[in-house]
Amino acid sequence: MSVFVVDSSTIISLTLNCLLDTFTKFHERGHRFIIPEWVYDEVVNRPIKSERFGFEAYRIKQKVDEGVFEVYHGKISDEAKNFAKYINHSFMADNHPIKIIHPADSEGIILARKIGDALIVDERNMRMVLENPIGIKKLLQHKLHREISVNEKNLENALSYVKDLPVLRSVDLVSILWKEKMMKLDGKDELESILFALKFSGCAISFNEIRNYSRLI
Amino acid sequence: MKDNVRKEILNLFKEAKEAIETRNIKRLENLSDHTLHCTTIYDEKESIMSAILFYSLSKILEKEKFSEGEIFSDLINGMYKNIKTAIKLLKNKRDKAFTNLLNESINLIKKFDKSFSDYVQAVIEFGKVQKGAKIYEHGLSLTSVAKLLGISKWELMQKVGERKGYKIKERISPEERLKLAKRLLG
Repeated sequence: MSVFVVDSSTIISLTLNCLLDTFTKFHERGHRFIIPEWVYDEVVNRPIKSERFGFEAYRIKQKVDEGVFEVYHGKISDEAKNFAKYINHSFMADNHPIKIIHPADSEGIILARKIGDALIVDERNMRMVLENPIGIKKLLQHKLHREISVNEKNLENALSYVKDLPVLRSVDLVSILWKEKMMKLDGKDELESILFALKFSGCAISFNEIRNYSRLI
Repeated sequence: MKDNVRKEILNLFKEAKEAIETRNIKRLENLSDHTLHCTTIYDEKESIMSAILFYSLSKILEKEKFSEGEIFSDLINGMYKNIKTAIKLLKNKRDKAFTNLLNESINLIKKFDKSFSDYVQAVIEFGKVQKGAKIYEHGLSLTSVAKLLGISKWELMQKVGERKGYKIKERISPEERLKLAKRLLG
């Protein structure tokens, strides 16, 4: 059975599409889903006070109360601080370091490395930092219209904290659920429509990838 | 404020002044986007506040174009005056006074005319989410963007999903990713 650390971006995109039960179904199989305290704040404590997302927050709180999500109450570790420091001093524009990730992001990443088998995150930039940092360089160069230099030493130090950490997204969870016939919708068109819905809710997946998923699964 | 940020913001304010004089809405909108480069690199609140100010101003100028009477002229004149003052403050490196003026200008827009204030409030909030999604496209994590703008990830996720981002080649193929997911979740 696997242990996953889940970022708020995945919880948000699944909740917005009424697919929060995805976690429940995998939890029933014995998988564990850990959320850092700041993620709980982001998906429950703050939105529960708002008119716009209060209902969504209550639904997520219910999953915590049922034990589907476990809240991790530990403090930000030195490793998390170091990881953030190194990665945020890896990419330079005009000799100035670009702060790509927030210390809270790095807490989730390091927690996944320490106690989990994988990190589940829907947003693109955090995943790219782990899987394809050179892609981040290209993105920055393209968007900022200037040369981006990489401090290889800092990048190497940062990546040494997260070596080979697997990353999944909401679309991966849903695809496996669909493949194993654990969803009511069982057609390929239905699967594609779910993947598109998740994409339009912020999950970083390209149109091509969606077509490929639908073909491969 | 760092010297290079101040210099960039000063140039943007000079351009904004000209854009207001010529009622060039598109230029003002583009300036707002250009300011985001500065935000991405230097993580300075002043640049994102300037972006929101330019964006709101472009919307007000748009509204002025289609309205009768002069209800917007006081506001636009006031903003024009503030932009001229901002240029002087930046030239004299009076950072604190510049930040106060930025806040004051945004508040001036918010409080202008009761019937109009809801619209402006919506424009400012929409502007934050819009700019946030663009900063995310520039490479910053969603949490960084949300904290910078004081908005929630919930709003940002939806906006990010609607936009066509720059394509980065994936290092892990769909086959490998599905295999990994099956191994971990099966």
